Amino acid sequence: MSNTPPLLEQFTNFDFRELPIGVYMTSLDGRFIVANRIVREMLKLPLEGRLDANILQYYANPADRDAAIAEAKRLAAEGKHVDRGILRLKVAGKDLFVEDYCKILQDAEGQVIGFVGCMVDITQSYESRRHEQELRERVDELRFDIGRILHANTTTLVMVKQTLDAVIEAFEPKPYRDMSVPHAQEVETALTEYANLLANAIERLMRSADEQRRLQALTAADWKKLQGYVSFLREYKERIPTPESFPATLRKLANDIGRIHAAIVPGNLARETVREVQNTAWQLERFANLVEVLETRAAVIQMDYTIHSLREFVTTDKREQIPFRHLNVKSLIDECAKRMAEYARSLKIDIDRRDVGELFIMGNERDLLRALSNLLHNAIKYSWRRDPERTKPAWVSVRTFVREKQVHIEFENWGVPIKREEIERGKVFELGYRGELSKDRGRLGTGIGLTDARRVAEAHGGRVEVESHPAFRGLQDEKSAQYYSQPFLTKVTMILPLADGAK
Amino acid sequence: MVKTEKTKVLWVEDSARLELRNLTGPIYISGDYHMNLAEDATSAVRYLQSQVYDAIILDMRLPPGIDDYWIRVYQDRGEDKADARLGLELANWMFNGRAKFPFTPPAWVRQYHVGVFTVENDADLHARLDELGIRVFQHKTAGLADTILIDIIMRILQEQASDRG
Repeated sequence: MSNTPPLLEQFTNFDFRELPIGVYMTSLDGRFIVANRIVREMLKLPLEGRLDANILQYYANPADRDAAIAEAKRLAAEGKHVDRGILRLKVAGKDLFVEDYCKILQDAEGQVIGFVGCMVDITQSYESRRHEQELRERVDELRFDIGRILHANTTTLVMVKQTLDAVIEAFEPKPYRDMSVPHAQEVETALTEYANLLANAIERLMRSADEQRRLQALTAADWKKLQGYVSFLREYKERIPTPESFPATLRKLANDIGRIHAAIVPGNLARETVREVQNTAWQLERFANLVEVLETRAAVIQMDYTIHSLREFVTTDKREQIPFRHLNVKSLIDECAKRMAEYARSLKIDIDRRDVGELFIMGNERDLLRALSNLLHNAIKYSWRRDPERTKPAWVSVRTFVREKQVHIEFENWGVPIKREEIERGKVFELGYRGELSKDRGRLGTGIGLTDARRVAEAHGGRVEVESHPAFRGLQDEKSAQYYSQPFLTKVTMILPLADGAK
Repeated sequence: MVKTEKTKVLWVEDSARLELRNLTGPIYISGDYHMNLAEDATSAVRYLQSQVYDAIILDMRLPPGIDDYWIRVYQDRGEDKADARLGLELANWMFNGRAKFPFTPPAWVRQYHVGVFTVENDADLHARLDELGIRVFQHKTAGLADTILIDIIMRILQEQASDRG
């Protein structure tokens, strides 16, 4: 005997099987009266015959069904129908998300007696949408965390830099007037002088007493070490194959000699020769330390900028979009140069802005400052020193000009090449990509500068162009192993529309 | 190829002259070692083919250098040192013949010549090193003493002594 209300009986013989979406009818308590093949397949019900199933058993959360009925009754009382909804069902232990279009069925007195509806399986797209939403939320959280961590690190770097400045200030007498990294040739000359002074002092110490007194002052092993150190100090350029390691290695050596000096038993060797070893070892160690600290300071300033720029980048979308306004390109460049001044000074690089004109563009000042600063930072970072004699400092140049109503802001440097294929294949613009030749000499980077600059330029209706070619006409054979060892002239140009009505 | 009295070391490390330059001081000063630096995969192969070493200290994240094979591997793996793991590829070439580098590895080189010195320290890397039979491993962290290279060399030499029985 069927429990189907009489009014619904008439529908039970309807053939919904050929319809391309799931069609169903249930009583108020959820028993299926009709379900076509699509619904039966979805719910893994028998494909033929009468049904003995209740939709309630498929609800992932049965309370949803009660809420749906209550809502349907409420709407019915207002003469309305239930609209589209997403149902989360469970079939054989797995989630089934369906988009459900449902109408209530009422008897003559207006009482709700059941539902008729159709449903579409949207599990796949719903799950991927839900997954996407979860990922989006996670990315947002991460961006927030990264922003906070980067901010905290920037604060730490300020402390580190100030401490390094104080340490450098404490070096007296100062061999350098400013806090910039000295040229390698200059370092080598000074190191050689200090190393020779120390070697001379050790030799004098060894001659200052007879063997018996010498062995009362230090062990035979220590004397042997000192003898070896004299040779090392005289030949350090041959013994240390990489000039970058000269200061660190000689510092270590001077420190070792200082330790041996501290072990000298007093009263056996001429006091002034002992003191001379101590002083000259200290001078060498001090100078090598100063060079290392100056280099570390330059690296910290660079790291500070890198972290700042990364933070700006990851939090860009979080900031309120402000309307474009008239901006003077010269003011933008002046501000970028101001931001980069300390970094440029630490590397003894001048920023040449002689050809920057008063031109106007429409734009977002903050984004443009970030993007242009990144381009200037890159130009400084990837510069080589042009003049080994140090008669004039290295420089990067910034110039602006207008061509076909477009403002060209061009940054040019002399130094690290960018490979042709990296430019042609657009690799330099890929997020996180760092030029193959850009990572020498410990240059830090995030690989976002050019990506961000291009995004900002495009958001302003512009673009960024990159070119890099040998600075001299000499070596033009790209297959030569030396081709990319020579200095290149690299130009990175941001091209932006000239503001309407501007000169 | 006659061995000199000094221990011959090859350090394959692209940061050897820069960030890690403090680590070379004790090696040079001691006078007990003859050390070559290879800053990319191409240079590493050239050194390995031209000399016999007592110890090879191998980084995992290396740039390719100028050889087409290493450039291709590097490009195929997304042009990123961390993903390319060319140091591991060098070890594959030396020990299990899986690398397709078309040159025979030097006949003298054995797993006990190699110590891995890298910032990586994950289970996958350890599994691969185990599979290759490389037992000396040192995680590169900021807190290491400046004598760490000498320590690694000593461990490699001990490994050789125990392996040779």
